[in-house]
Amino acid sequence: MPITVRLSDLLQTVAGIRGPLSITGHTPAECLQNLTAQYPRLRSWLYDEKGHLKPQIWLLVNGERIYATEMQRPLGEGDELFVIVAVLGG
Amino acid sequence: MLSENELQRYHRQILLPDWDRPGQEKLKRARVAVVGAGGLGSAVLTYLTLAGVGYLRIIDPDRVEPTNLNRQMLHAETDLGRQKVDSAKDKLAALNPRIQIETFAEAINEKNVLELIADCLIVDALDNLPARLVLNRAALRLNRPLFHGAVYGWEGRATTIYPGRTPCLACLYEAGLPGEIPVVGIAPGIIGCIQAAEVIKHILGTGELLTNRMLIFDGRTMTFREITLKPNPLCKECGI
Repeated sequence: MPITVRLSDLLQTVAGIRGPLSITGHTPAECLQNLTAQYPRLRSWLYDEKGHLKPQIWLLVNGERIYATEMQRPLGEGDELFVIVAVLGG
Repeated sequence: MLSENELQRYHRQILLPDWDRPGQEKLKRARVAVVGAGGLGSAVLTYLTLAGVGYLRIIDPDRVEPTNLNRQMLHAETDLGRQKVDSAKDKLAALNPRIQIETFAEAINEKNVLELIADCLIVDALDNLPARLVLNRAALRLNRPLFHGAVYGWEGRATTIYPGRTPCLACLYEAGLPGEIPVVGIAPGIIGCIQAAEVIKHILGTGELLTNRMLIFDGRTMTFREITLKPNPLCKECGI
């Protein structure tokens, strides 16, 4: 099922894209796997060497923050996944 | 009581029906600690000073460096090498000599944080996660709001934390990006202004605060998005 995936400015720059993407997936975890398959430069930003999602990556489904325990939450038609990086500069 | 001079200085904001003289008097009685006198701190401090917050405490251990000058508008080339708190205090006192400013050129840590932020609202204008989490723990312990901002490149984020009623910083942040942080000067300027607005609204008791939500600013597309926050069930700090 195609899901609208948006990336933060930093991740768009890394991936070399601008604007939203249409990525297939039934869960946030599956969408991210398919996203990094299409845009391999994102892989090292999203996953550590063991393949775990990095703790500085935030996922939002329809604008709501989800946590690691919700990576298998079902996504439906019209859902949007927003992927951003925790920033800490001042 | 507000003096004639103060009534003139703050006239344009006192005109607001939900601000008026009682609101200005609340600001005059308010005490705010701004932790960090860098990019975010420069903007927060400037607007709290102009608004007439009666007491400001500035906490920052650093000295002014050349790399600060693209964004930290309280510091000038002539301030290079000075303590940031001294540089900031000079500029703010010139902007509004009617407020009290106290400075501490110290890094916050678990031992000194409660003393440094005593009796003050807390603004998180820091640039690293460990110090931000120290501030978060202190805010939770004191049950006091924490006004948070953060930036990277063209991006910025802001939220307001009320202990027990919103997720805390430890709910939201597990880690940040390593290495030197790139920053476009306008990003902390905009986010710092938002933090100052949140502090002012909290003091006045007006408007809607950024509680349980975070504003995400993207300067490249000039868009603001709002995201909904919720407590992290794995958070070891707040337990809500």
